[in-house]
Amino acid sequence: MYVELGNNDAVERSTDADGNVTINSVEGADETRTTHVVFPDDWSIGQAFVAVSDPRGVWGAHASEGSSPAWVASDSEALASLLADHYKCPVGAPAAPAPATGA
Amino acid sequence: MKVNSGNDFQAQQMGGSAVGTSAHWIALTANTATPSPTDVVLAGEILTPGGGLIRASAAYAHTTGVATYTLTNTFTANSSDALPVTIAKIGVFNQLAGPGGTLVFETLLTPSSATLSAAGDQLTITETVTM
Repeated sequence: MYVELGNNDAVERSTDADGNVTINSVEGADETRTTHVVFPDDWSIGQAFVAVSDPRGVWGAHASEGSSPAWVASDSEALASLLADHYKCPVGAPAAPAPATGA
Repeated sequence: MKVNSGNDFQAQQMGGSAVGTSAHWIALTANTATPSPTDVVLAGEILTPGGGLIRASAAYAHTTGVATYTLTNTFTANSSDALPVTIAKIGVFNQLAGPGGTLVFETLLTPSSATLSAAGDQLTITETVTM
């Protein structure tokens, strides 16, 4: 089971030897990146939802505080729906823009 | 902290003959000693048979183009666990069965330890690895 989250607020989080945490916005963070999450085979939808949405979970570690995914997609419709409802974002990645014709 | 055995594991995975399993199992301990590069086990690792705080597989996550990835699991204490327990440190291993396997990362909980007092209490751990 997997989830993909559209991430407009990506961060790099690091901890030094003394336990001090540094959080830096990723350069070019105004572009949408994708946070890919892969869950163990035996996990339930509930476990996956908690792992992503817990304040100390996946989304909190990959995006700036208070932000929400731009979209969510998953091979589990139920999980995608739960996360989309939680974050108030759409299900499904936006379609890629059509290539310029150069006319 | 990536311990010495973790450096050896990473070198093999990235430049040598990669083994079949990645390092994505998280173990817990109440031991508060500062991690040492020479550690090869997680001292005091919780191994309670049937417990909810024993080594478990984590969800892997990575954001495109970013030099970090995370491992996340929510542990739930149950009636088999010796409670209360204050979790102070985690270890990341390349296999499920404790106490064996290769210790790759060892990290004190930040900003502080977490106490689980009763069955049903939960602790979400996210280990961020910087590449």
